Amino acid sequence: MKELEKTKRISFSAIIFILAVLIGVLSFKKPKNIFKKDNNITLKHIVSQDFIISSKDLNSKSKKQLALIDVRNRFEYNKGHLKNAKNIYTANLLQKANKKYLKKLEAENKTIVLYASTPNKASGPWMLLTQVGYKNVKILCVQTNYNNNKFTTSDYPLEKPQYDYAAFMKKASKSSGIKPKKRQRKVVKLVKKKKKVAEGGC
Amino acid sequence: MSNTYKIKKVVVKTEYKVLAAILIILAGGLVLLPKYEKNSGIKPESFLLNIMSTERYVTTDQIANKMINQDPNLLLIDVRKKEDFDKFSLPNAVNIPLAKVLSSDSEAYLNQDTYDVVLYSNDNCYADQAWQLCNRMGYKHIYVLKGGLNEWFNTIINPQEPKITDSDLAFKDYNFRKAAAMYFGVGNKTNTAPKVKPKRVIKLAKKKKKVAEGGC
Repeated sequence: MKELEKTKRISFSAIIFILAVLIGVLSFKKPKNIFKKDNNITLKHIVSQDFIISSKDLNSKSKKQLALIDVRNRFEYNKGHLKNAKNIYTANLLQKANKKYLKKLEAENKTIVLYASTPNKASGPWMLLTQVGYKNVKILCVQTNYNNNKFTTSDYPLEKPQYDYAAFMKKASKSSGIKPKKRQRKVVKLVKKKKKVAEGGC
Repeated sequence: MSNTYKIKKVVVKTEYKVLAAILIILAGGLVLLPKYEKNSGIKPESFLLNIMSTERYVTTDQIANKMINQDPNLLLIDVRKKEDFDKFSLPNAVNIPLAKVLSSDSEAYLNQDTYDVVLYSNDNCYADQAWQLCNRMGYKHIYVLKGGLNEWFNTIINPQEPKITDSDLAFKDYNFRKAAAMYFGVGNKTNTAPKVKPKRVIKLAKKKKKVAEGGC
């Protein structure tokens, strides 16, 4: 009798274990999108700013090499857009159909050029696409205007200081006669977050 | 006595052998499962959502307010190059040039939850890019100064006078900005009284109560 009980128990637990493993294997989903590129690579791009092209470069390159993509929403796109630009709203960048389209462009060795109402709005999508793995993505440095029912683009002065700050402040403080109080430099005490080694198992 | 020291031969039943074999094969299979790359930080989908939300922007008025009230939680980080930082920067700001945003020293400034970090540069762009890098790594409490130093100069240091037709709020903002400008070392010698919106005078004609004519 004892033997029978033992075999029953063992086979029961074995069946449950195998079921659990099977369920685990079947429900193992491959993540839909993964970041293929590391942050450091995008940082290199950012520091060298080599991914920004102006409209002059746009016109000089042959149309066949470029694929313009408008990342604004479709209402703005319908109001007016650049010639030959396809509309992919930022929120839809990771959708299947658009991923297929982008992969096709990559296969044809075309440069993907993004633009939006300001280059700032296009920098987010640019970073997303570069980090997901697309190699040839650039941003068109223009701002879009809509005057008299006509859609135009003008060059955007990227990160240009509008004033010479130091000179302005000097002049301003001279004329006011107010001496700004010398405030003590704030001492920022920072605790370096220790990378916690995984405890226990893997 | 020699009997007790005899090693008992363990007769393993064949069923147990089969069971053990199956389990070992399964274990081996799990080890050999294709390795899917995992990313450190957040997933691309959440990254996309974060890019699109405008929660990260703080206005120059908010920052000026915090600085005047000496909010201890505020930490300003300038992401321009060192030369630009040395020429001019906001008071009490720390300089982390874009190239060094991912280095381990700057991680101490960025990956923490004691301070609210506000990134700024001449204009939104570089600060936004730095923010995106930090966001991908999963850092929290990081914001971007909307408009950057250009906006700072246009609003706080050199505010535009509101027209008479502007709202009350515009006047309130203007007075605040003028006062803030004085805190930061800018101001006029002439004592400008705070601008008050001229009160609209509405002439009302008193309605004369008409006595009922005719009948009851």
